[in-house]
Amino acid sequence: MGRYILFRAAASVPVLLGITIIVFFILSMIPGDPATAILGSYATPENVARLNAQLGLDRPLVQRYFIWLGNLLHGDLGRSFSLNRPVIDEILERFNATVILSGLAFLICSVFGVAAGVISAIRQYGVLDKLITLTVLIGISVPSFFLGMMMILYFAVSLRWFPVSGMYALYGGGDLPDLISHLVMPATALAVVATGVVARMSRSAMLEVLRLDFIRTARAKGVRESRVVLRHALRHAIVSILPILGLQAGFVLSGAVYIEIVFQWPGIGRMLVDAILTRDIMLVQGGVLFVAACYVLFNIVVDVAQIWLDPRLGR
Amino acid sequence: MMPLARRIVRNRLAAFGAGLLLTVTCLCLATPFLGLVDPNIINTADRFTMPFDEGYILGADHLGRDILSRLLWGTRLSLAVGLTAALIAALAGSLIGIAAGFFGGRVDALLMRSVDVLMAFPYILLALAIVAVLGPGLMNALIAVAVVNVPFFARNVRGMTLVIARSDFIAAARLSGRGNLSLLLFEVLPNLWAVIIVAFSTTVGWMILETAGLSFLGLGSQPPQSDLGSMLGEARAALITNPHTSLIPGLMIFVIVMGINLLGDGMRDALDPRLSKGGLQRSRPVTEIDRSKPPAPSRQPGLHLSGLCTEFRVGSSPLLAVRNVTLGLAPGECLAIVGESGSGKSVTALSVMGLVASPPAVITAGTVSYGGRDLLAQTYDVLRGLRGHRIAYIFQDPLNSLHPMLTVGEQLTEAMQSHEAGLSSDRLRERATKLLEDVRIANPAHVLASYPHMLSGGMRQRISIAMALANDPDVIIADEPTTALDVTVQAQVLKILDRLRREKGVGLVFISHDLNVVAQISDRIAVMYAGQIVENGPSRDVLDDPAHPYTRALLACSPQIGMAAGLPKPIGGSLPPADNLPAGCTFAARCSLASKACRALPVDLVISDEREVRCIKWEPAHG
Amino acid sequence: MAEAMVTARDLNKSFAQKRLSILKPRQYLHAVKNVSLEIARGETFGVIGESGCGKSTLARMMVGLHGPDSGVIRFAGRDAASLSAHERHGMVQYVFQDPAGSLNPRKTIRQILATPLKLLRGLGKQETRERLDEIMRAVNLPLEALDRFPHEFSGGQAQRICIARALLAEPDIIVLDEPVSALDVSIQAQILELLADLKEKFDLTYIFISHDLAVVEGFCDRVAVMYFGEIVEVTGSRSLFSGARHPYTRLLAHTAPRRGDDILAEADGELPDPLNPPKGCAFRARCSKSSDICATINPGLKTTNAGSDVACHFADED
Repeated sequence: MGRYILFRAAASVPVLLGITIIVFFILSMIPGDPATAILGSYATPENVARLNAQLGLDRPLVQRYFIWLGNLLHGDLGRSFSLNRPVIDEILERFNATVILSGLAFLICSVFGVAAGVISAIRQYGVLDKLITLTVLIGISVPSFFLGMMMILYFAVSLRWFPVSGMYALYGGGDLPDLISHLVMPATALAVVATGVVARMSRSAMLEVLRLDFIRTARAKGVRESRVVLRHALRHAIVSILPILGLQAGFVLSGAVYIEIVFQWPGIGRMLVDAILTRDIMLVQGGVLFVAACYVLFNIVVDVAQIWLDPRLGR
Repeated sequence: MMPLARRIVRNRLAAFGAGLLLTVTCLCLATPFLGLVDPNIINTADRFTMPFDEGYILGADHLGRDILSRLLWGTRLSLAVGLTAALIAALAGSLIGIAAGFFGGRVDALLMRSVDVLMAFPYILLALAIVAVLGPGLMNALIAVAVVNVPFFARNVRGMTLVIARSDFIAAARLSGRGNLSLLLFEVLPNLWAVIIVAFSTTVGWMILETAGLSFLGLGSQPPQSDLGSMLGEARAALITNPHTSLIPGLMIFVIVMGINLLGDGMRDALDPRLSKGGLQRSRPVTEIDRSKPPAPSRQPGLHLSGLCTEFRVGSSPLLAVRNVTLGLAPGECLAIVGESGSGKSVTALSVMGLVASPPAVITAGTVSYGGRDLLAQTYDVLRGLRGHRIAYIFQDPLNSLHPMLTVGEQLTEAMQSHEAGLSSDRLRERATKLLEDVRIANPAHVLASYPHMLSGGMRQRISIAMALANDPDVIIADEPTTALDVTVQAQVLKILDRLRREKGVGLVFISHDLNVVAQISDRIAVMYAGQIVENGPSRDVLDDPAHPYTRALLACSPQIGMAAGLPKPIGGSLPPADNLPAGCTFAARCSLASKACRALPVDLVISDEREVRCIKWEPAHG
Repeated sequence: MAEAMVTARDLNKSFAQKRLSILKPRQYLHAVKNVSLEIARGETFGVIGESGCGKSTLARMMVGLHGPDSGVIRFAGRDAASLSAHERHGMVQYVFQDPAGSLNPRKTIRQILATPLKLLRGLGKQETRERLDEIMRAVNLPLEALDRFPHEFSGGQAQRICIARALLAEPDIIVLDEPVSALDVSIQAQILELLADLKEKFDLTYIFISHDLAVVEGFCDRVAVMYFGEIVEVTGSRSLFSGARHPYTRLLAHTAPRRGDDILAEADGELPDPLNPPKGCAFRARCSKSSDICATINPGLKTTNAGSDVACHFADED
């Protein structure tokens, strides 16, 4: 097991490198000159050249990549010109908020998605199954940003159950209940689509497993049906559900961009959109890279969990 | 293509989805001819007019622009952009997938590693990075969304291409003279359309959502041009004061995506062969029973089937798999049921404990008596208590019939725990070890901790036998237990099974297609053909003096080694279809003795002493 | 022996296994080891063995679906490596075990059967039509079958179509890879009878791969027994049961079920680990005759006093 984790971690190094290459080269293709962008269009050519040298932009691209990569390994993601502070500091601060939001959303989609899928499968064509299928269909067709807006309108403005936006109340907030009351709506809005996808996939994974020969063997042994479903079928289905959960983690991280905008959540997604609109390349570069790296690490966890559950893989 | 369209229409939800989409598409196509106000005319005096107010059907937005006009023009744009992105992604992704899957090796490694890197980004993030480079704008959003979805197509198509490229029919086409390009175009591609269409129909909704999303963030369409996403984005500022400006474009996106998803699901169901055959149905814990006036259960010891009928309800006419089967197994006896595929032998065996997958199977008549009770009339709990406890099963394929993720030990002890509560773990282990020793497994401790995939086929089948014996049952039903094994292993397993049933006095029902195997192990043989018993009698009699023409023909066409008799004698023709059986004798069409009388009426079993034969030409040797 | 139609010399084939770790060396599965054989024109040559013995790999090498790692195959004296794909497919054809899986589900039977005619024989439309009608009669299928799709046929019918396809290339040799294993016995016998007829009619040489000794005994002239990638015995098929010299052949022959006999089985015995092949004779762990020499020296095929070729140090003892 330990060996496999090492092997899997080693195997993701090329992927991480690939990510740095893509992020670096894509963003260095941006037309226009960062120095001009920073200094404004009235800057003198001398000032522009000096800033370019200062930023290392006068060197060849490949060399710049390796310098950048070296800095990266030291945790230096450069400096954001629009915020005038190190990118890494800004990211770490923002990332916290994003992790809370998408973490809860991911939890919701895993627990409710799998549960709904399993219930739907064992009650196939029953009332509950039809209800779940219909809810799921609506859930996966609603744009999360629109859903978020409607939730604000209904639960925050009409019913006044939850605050409209933000992460903490401006005055006197900051404790856990305050955070939770701010978190419920965005996390739910973010989780809805992913929950629908997980529920669908879990349903079909369960149905597929329930047709396999070893289910018949378990029944022929006299194993109780509840145990057949939970121990034999779910145990097997979860292995094919896991990669779906891995994908949904990425989906939730992505969807956070919209939700953070709608709910004014101070996370990394909102930072990225602002950075793109202000053309703060260092910040975009750092943010994308950071989130992608986290996602890669998360997928290692998913893979390892899969190996741990299915003895046929690995070894 | 016709049957596909018909299947989609028959699916009500899919038809509803198609209807929604069709309406939206027609509206979009007609937009320029509807005589609408220019969507970009600003009229600040009318800002936030409510729907149905003075000349604005859907009201006006924060700049006083006509929402209806903006909605329709925006929908046009959103649909066009989403569809284009989907087409680009499908085309590029499919090309990558086909190349990777078909050529394999380095090409595959290079392409798929690149795709992996793209997949490593949470995907909106990659789209954001691309938009960051290209700058905000609708075209750029389109490109970003297309690129982000390429990996999905590439992976799906590659997977399917790999399966196809490795299939025998591709090898066969190669041997028929096709080169690589011709194989790809004429043999592989026609089998990929379904996958590509399904992938397309399930993602196009997403792509419309995603492009709308980028516009919503202000990174897609730029004013004055506006799609549904940017309408929603602009309206957000007035969400609380004037919700209708947000509600209308949002609902439109919802309706479009929902329509696409409904239609996509319908397409998938119609194109996926597993789904279209009703394959993904959950089987119930007990076979469905739908019978009137069953005969009373027999009081004799042993297991007795009487008048058993099982059918599969698929399509318009049911497949009659088992028809009026009457069989008896005395305690400690070995009864073999022999027949070719489609004869109903396995369905008969599985019907005993209600293990035929239902739906589609239904037991329509007969009783199964055991210990004076009718098993078919028992509640689930009673039946479950008997399964594996008094009557146990061994199945054909020992790899698939054992759970791949539970150890041998876990599976063996579960068989005991299901019928006996409160066994200590030491006791369980001891009994499991003993069971494995009984089936001649040399190092039980090691095997108990192993997973099935680590063991050979012969070992796995010994474990199935051990599991069947776990609760000292009265009867074991073995469904083709040695068919998947090599001859030398088959002999080992047969020997073990034969010894144990004699030692433990277990009644054995042995299902097989192989008369030679059956001859070695059984006391009685029942021969099945087209769902019926055609002959039943002591093994020696049936083998040495077969009474039914089918039994004789079957013996003549089953070669055995050491006879050096040249080629086996074939039986002409084939089995009658189970949903369209002839009125008279089912074997008449293939029988050299058949006369008019054989074809006229159903033939009954003629019973004489220990033998039963379903043939009007048979004359029992009396006295 | 008449002119050799097929000669194989020292064929070897191994498959690289998927690597579990970059640190470990890649493992190879040696599927076929030093196989040599000679098949006369018009002969039906059986290759028999249990699953994993390498018989299918050998069959696929014969038609060129796998290339050998080393060794030479000759057809009627011509080195197979020097033949173009077209020439080779026009000489050797193949029939697969799973008839349904070897027909493209999206094509009609006409399209499938026309392919070898067009590509290998270069026939025009009219001639193709005539040849198709002819071949359907030869394999006892109705002409209407030409315009149907593969899923509409039973296993036996599909196998007839596959045989027809192989015949249309007008080969000298057909490799039959377990052609009847997936079929019911009554249909098996039909197909075997058809194959025997066609052989006479088209003057064919057969290489018949099977795991079923009883079928091989009745259908083949000579038979090679494979164990663990090697040929351990080549003998006349009529003497498989009574005249076998190699202990493995005897084990196979005597564990095959016979209606009059009791169950005969060796007590235990499993195949060696293919990734870590044993030294010397691969069968020695299951062999009652094994002695020190078997553990060190691989016997290799030698002609015995009885005239068959056997790979056993004790082939001439009894």
